[in-house]
Amino acid sequence: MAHADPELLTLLALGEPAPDESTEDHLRTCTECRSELAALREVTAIGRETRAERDLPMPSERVWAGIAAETGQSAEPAPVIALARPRRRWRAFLAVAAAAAIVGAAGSIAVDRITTPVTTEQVLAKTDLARLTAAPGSARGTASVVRTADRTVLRISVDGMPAPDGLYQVWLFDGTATMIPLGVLTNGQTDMPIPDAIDLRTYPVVDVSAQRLGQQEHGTSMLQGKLS
Amino acid sequence: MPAGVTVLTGASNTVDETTKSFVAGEQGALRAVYERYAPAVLRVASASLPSRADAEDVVQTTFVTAWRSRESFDPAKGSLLVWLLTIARRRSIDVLRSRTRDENVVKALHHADGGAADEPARPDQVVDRMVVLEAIGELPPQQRQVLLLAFYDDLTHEQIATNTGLPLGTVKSHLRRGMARLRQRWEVDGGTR
Ligand SMILES: [Zn+2]
Repeated sequence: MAHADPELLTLLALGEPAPDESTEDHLRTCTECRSELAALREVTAIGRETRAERDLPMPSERVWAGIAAETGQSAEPAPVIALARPRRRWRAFLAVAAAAAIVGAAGSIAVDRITTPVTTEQVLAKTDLARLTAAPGSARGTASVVRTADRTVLRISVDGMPAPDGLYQVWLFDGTATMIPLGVLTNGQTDMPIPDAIDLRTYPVVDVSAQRLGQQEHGTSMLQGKLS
Repeated sequence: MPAGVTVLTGASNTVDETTKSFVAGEQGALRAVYERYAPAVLRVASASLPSRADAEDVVQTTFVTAWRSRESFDPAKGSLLVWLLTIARRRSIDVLRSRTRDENVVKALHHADGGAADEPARPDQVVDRMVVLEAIGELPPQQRQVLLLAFYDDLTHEQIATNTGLPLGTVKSHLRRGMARLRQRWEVDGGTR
């Protein structure tokens, strides 16, 4: 018999049952497939463990100050963009994975309520906002980049979100290290001007976070979507 | 889909660019690398050092050391992340050695080595997780989403297909490719240590 199909080995490593006895028989006798499966199982185990590592904190401010002093760097973060420098560049690559756990992706299902054509407006990009693990099952939203006569805005509306302890904040995220706060979300539909200096190719991810009142850094992501 | 869409989808290889500018010693590069990797470095240091202050000292030393010896970093031998985490682990061990007479630290260490079910992860396990986490973050978005539904939400490929509306074949292919990519990164960067 031929070796087990790589897709099948992947499913087995993820814990799905073998589809038939011939696969099990083959795995019993073939060391090559067995070691392949063992390696994939190890990757699966580590992959599952990363769940606990998705929201790691930055070191306290004094650490960067110390590094800057020792290496002769400016203690100030380098400006990311000229006009709307984020209050804080935040969250390392880990945010990427945190952002990615999207359950029951709203993708194809969500009703797009915001693209009713208006002759003076042009939709440049849009995305459904899928809920992250911190959000309740009912949460969802949409965001679109709309060019109006005189400006470009992020038009965002959300639904099914619980009343926040503090407030909900909307960010543009580069998917790796930098989040730019755009504004505070109010009920229904909100238009938030996007400063010209922000290149949406660099910041394609729309993020809605729950913030404690007075909290400047990025809080807990609730909804996310990638503009396209 | 409106015509403007394509403008927004050009992928940029920011990881490589950041690493390159770091090695070249460019202005702002250290800060950029710090912001990307400081949480992971702190996590690894904290896996060996019970005191947060000690762990943060290791973070500081790690980035200073890395910056000063950046020309010795060889991307062919592994990622910048793993290079930083390796420095952090060595520094953590140094700090531990210097503290071996401190009863509390020794106790805390023994505790960390104990066999309890929810014991803290060992430093090498944490490094593996960071490597895989970064690799997950670099997957194409749809592949990543599918894989994380399997990892974190424990969905079968059929449930993932139902949830995402993707065809079964696409889900299986995303799972295989995503997993192969993580494995490759882990074997290059983690498994061979
Ligand atoms: Zn075989």
